Amino acid sequence: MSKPKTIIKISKVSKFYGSGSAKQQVLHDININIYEGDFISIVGTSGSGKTTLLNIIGGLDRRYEGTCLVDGHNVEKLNERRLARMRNETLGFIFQSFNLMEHLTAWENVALSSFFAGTKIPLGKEYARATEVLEKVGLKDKINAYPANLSGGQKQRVAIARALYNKPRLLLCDEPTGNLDSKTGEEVIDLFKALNREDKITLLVITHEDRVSKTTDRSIQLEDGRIVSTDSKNAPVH
Amino acid sequence: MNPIKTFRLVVKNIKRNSKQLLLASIGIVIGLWAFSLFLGFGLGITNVVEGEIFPWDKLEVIPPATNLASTRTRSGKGGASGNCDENDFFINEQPNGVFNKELEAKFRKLRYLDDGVVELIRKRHEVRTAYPKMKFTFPAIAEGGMDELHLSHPLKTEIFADGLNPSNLTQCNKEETDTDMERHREMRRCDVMYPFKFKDYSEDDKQLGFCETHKDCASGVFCNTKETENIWIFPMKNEETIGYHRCYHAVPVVVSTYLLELWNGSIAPAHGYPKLSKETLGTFLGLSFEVHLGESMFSSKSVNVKPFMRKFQLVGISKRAIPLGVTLPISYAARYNKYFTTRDESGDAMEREAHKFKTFSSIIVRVKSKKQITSFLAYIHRLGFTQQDTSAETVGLVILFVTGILVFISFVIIIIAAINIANTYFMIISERRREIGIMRALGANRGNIRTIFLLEAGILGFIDGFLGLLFGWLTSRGVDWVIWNVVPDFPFKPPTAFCFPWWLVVSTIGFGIFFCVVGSLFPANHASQIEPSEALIPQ
Repeated sequence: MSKPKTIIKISKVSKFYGSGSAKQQVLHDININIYEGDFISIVGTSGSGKTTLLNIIGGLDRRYEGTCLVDGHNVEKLNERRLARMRNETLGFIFQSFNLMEHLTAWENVALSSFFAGTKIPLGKEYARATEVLEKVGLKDKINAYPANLSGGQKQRVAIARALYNKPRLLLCDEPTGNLDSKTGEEVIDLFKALNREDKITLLVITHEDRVSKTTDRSIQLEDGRIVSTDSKNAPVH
Repeated sequence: MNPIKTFRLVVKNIKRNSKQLLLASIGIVIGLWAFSLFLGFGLGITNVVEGEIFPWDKLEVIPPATNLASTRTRSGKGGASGNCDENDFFINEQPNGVFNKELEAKFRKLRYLDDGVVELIRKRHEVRTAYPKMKFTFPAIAEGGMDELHLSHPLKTEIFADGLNPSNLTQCNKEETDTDMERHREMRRCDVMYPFKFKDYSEDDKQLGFCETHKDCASGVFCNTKETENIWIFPMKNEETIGYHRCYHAVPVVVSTYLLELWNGSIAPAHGYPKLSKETLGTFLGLSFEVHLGESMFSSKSVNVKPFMRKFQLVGISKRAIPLGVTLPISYAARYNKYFTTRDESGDAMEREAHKFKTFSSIIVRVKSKKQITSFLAYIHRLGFTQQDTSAETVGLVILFVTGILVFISFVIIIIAAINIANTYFMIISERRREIGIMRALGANRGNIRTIFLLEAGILGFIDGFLGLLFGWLTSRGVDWVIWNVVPDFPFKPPTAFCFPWWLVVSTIGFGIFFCVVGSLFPANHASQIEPSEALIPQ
């Protein structure tokens, strides 16, 4: 069995906030390798640096020390255009608070990334693709619904559908079940598992919930910006 | 970014922020409303001034203001101070010489406006038409209209008159028009309509018979019953010679549309007389009135020969007629002018006054375009003539100045409104910070974010421009209604006081877009600089 390609390689990444005497280090020399097809969780308490790490991986925050390679590209060194293209084509983001546009319908929210450069979906096929991914997350009957008319779980499914719209290779999920009840949260996790298993999408889930981290192949524990443990009991053999 | 999809997104964004944007746009709409209204008003008034009151393309060429003729005559004949170079002066000492290019090159200055000068002017490339006019060089009083205008006493007024070649009027001799509409169309097109004619009847009069009273003559033909008039005319050769107790045609005259405006705007309202239009005036065509040639209401010793009376008959309305007075065939004017020139002992007109009946008082010139006026006037001045001052330039400048101030005020309003737009956009961007973060996470680059906000501002500006223009147009309709229904009549009351040419429509909407985009430029740039990780932090 051939070794899978490294999709994320983080080497000695440190992150500071503030300056002078107020300067605060939130990440300390983080080293992580994530391979294609991985389903990984980063676990930690609030303020442990999980979201900061996710933002660095997603290219949403480029003010850090060290190296972060995503799909072979050094995120820090990419120019504005190429970084935006990478976020559009390669990555999918799922947030705790869904971050849907309230004035757009479900399918318009899902197809939002098609507005920007680099979309993989051909012109005129946006609606069909949005329908396809909404069907995948079980929301075919809510295509034209506005977020205000959706439940929390449905909103998160729309957000997942939006992240899947451009057929990304890596899903970055920031507390995806944080705002959901346990049953709905489980449904979302099951959906992630299915995506990982069937579509071979790499998933990196930030969570503080054990029930979520237990379902992933590998779990990285962060505490005060440091990796304190790596649990890979469910990880496939590479 | 795909333009159609981006447009759809932007329209949705505008709908969502419609209340905020509407409030922010009020200033822009007011500014553009004022801009379109003021500029439209300025253009409308300019159109009236330049099109009706002082037509820009109509110039009146007149002889030099200083009468050099007498100076020259004295100095030449007397030989006392004749230090002028003969070549500096005029080759049409004797009017109606024949001119051509070679001759034109030889002279420097001309004194009289005669056929040669008319030909020279007509040949100029700037000139569309040129026709001469000959004003009365004597006073005259018009009297009549009592029956036709249902007045208690006849109108009596000092009258001005000039002569015009009949070929310079549009005379329609079609005997019958098929419909009323056709007749109205013909009336607008024609200066003189059947059965009336604008012509010199002196030859026809020789065929008419004797009479005792007007009733003995045909319709439109009158009886000369005043013997005394001819005592002064008979000794003169080839002049006004209507025999005693002979029928004669009334002198056909046309009046100006300007006179019509003056009548409707000032005289009729002031005296309670009925108003007239070119169409309704058709019913007054054929109106005849007495004109006492050589008489004046201001001076009893106006002329040195005996005044006489002639019947004048209104036969048409023409823009080519004298603005205040009547215009008759030029041959009549020439004969009357000759009659009233100074005589020598033998009763012949004195040669030094021959220009009064052999040359023209002015030449009306219509140029092809505004741009050519300057070069044409330069040519006229080179010839030694000048232009009748119409005050058009002064009035035009005043209108331009006032319009400029009003447009400036509207720009100040728009600029202040643009600052307000900037402020509103800063607020909107603050509220949509998270949305910016989402878009960045989904693959929008800084340029995409900037474009979205600028496009929003551009569409908003388009809507503002359209609304400003619409309100401006609606206001102009209202003002026009007030002018027509509330404001008393005045001369040259226009059908509309406004003009909205295509470029005003485009520029109003264009300024709307421009100022909204400029107003949102800084906020949009600020939005594009927001770091996505910061924008996504829950607030």
